Amino acid sequence: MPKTKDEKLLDTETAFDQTARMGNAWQSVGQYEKQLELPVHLVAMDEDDDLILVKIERDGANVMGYRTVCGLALGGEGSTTRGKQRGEGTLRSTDDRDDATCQACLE
Amino acid sequence: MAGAAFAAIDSTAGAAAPKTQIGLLAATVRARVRGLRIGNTAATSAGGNRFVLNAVSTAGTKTDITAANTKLDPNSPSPITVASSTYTAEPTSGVTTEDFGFDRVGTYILWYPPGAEPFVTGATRLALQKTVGTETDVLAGTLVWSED
Repeated sequence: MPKTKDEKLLDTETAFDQTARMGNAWQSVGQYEKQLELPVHLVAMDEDDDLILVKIERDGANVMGYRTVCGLALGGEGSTTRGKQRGEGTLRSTDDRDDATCQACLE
Repeated sequence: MAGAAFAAIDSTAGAAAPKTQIGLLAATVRARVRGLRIGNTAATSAGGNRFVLNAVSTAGTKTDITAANTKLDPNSPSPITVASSTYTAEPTSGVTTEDFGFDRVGTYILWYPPGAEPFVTGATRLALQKTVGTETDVLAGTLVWSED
């Protein structure tokens, strides 16, 4: 059986590259498994375990949103209009420190 | 942002209940849930599925979707509300605002009448969750919301 287009893709792209390019459009089991290989970031919370609202930049405007402990914005930051940076906000996050794997979040 | 509508899709992570399909996290806008669609992509025999919209109180472990990927209008600004999918740790359940069941060989489509939509406000969350259903097939789901 010749490889499908999706299978060839999995041979040639890293999980990060695929996330950056495809965003959330996961269509095959292989892509789903790749997604699960991404680092899990810890969402920034205060001492009461409430989310911390901070400014993030989206499409040139400063809006209130949320960041991970290591500084990434949930949902992405910068110019997210049209195709250019559409995948960059796709990240895995958690509020459970035991599930986090991003070393910068755990320092 | 104001007035624009968005859709989060998730067609992965087949698992028996309890299983969160899609979640929304609001910030400084009110997210108004406009409707949803959920269906099984592989079932060949009948079986019960029950889903809820639940105001979960924790995040769980999940994939946060790129905001721009949820735009229905490519020329609209990106949403402030963050949508999530591909949950591998379930969030803590809160108050349920919608409860429905359907046969897994079918598809459930729900559009809220204007003025009677569930809202997500402040730093609160709303999740589309399967609470009954033993099948582990992939479910295709779409959650549509707008921001006031």
